[in-house]
Amino acid sequence: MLKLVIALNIFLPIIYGLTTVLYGRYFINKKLKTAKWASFLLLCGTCLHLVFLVAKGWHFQRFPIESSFESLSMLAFDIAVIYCVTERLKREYTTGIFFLSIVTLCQTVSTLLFRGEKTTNELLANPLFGVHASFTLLGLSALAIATLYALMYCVLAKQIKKKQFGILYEGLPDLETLDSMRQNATICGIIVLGIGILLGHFWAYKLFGHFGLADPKVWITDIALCAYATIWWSTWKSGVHGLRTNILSVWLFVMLFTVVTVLEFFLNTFHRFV
Amino acid sequence: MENEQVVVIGYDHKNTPVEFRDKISLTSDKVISFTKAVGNNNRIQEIAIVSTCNRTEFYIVTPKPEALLCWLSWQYRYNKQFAFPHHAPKPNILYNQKAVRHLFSVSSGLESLILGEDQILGQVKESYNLLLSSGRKFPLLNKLFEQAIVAGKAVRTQTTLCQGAVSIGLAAVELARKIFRSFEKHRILLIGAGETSELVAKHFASLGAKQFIIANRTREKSQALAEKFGGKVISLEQIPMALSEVNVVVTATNSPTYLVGYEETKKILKLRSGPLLMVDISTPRNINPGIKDLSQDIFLYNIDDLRNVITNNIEKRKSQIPEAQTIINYYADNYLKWRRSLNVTPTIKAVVRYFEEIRDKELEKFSNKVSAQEFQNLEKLANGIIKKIQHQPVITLQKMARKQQLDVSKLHLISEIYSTERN
Repeated sequence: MLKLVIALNIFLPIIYGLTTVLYGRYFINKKLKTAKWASFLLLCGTCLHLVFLVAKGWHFQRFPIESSFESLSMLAFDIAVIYCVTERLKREYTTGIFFLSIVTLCQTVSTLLFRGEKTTNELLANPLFGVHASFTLLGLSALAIATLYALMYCVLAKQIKKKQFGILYEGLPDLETLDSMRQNATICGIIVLGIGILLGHFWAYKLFGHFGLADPKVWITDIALCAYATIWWSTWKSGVHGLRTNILSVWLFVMLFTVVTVLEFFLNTFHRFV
Repeated sequence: MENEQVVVIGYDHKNTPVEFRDKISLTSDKVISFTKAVGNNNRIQEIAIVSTCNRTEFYIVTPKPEALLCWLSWQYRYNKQFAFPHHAPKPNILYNQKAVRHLFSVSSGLESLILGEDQILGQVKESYNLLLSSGRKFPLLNKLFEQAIVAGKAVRTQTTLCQGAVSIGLAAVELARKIFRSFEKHRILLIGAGETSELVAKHFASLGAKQFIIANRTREKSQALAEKFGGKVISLEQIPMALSEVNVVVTATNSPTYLVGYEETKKILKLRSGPLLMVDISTPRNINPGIKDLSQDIFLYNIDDLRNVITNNIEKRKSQIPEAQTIINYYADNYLKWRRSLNVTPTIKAVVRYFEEIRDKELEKFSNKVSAQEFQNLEKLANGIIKKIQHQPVITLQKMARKQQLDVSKLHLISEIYSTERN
């Protein structure tokens, strides 16, 4: 099993890298054949990634997010899955280059720092934790994807406004599509992250007898989720959309990411397992 | 068949003034009349005509290409009651390879007045359909047109030669498409009801737009436009209020003043959200240019901006010419290979006939000497031997034909060697 894990660990960045190159070529030359190949390769990559994660979990008898670098592989998988689904729903291949670049980067870093040593951690062996972590990471990935779509919207809107018909203007889909993809990813993120957080609280209560709110990372994520949900609900209710909502979406995620990253580095909380 | 030549006699926008092009252009009925006239002529074996507003071209298969112009001018006199004047423009005459490549370039849009123009492929298809409906057999031109259509499609799908707007109306729509996914649910405000507005409305309607609001000085004109494309009519005074409910504004009038003012728009912006595309095609401008700074969601373009878009698109199309040429060459070479293989067919038939005749003569000697069963066995044996002997020369001939290693003299020599008509 370890041999399979090691082989896939090396193979995954290669296949994602190739997919990124193909998406890049499609972004420039717009040949549908290239996009179809990229999409097929992405599907193969995500399937192999799933096999890799299952094999790793099976071999180590724990959920495969022991360290930050292992989490990066899980994050790469989540982004790849969510992008794969969005792409298949909209048949929109031009944004693939941006997401697959992130996926490749995350997986490459994870591959390079893979240790392959067996460690035991009771928390990670708990199946409820696996479900909680999967949902939380998937939700965060969806919000990250929504942020990227919002970023693309801002860049494209600026280019259209300034009449700069460059490579991004040519390559990106229309503003309305980007906005709708952002909204879809945001709704998906709010729901999935919401389930993940609820499961986390439940799991913490079951294990430690409290909801884990002593960990700043937890309550900051709770606040961020509430903020996302409130903003989404109010914009939906009032019908406000356009550049301002996209800028807001970017800022919200940047704030969440910055705060969680700072806390991750400076505080030793129960989310650190090693 | 080796003496037949494909000739194109073409009058187009490059060599013929529009007055003469108008006179020689042919309707479908006339094309059929010309096609039928081929039956009465030994010189011309096949004919196909591509006739559009920018070109009238005759694709002719003939063993003797001389005096084709005389035949054409006679046909015009007979079928169209039009006599070619003495000072008639000289047509572009191309033979064989060049004629084939020319048609493929035409169907790909490389020869069009506007590079990469889309309509021409449909017009070549129409010519092909007329060829098919003529009821006569035109094998060489049939294949030629079929391949030209395939090449035209390949150029359109494999390159971006036909992409990007090259007219003001289309450029406005192209910009709108970069902001909105579809236009079914979006409202479009057209200020002005002239030719340009109608053209813009037509382009938007082709993309699914159904909700037009038309504002014009004369109500009758806007009413006519609204009836044609669907939508409602408003007065010029109602424009500010309409801004709160539309997503696209296009102005194309001769008004000397701003019809969309700064202050009115500023007030109205509080009532709306989302992107607003404003395209001002009028000269002098009808939308106050300061409006673009009122909101980040307002995208304002004037006629100069659209001209820049068109210039960029034309440059992009030009950059696709080498790639399109490669595709055209590929399909033209395929057609020419097919034609060469046709040239060798009579020789191959002569070779096969030669061996079959030997077989038949030899078998005849045994027909009365052996039993029916034994004769059948002998026949099988002879057939087997003949097939094996024929195989090598036939394959070699086909291979040489594909590689263009056979000229007429060689084919004559081989046909002479395997001739069955000698004593």
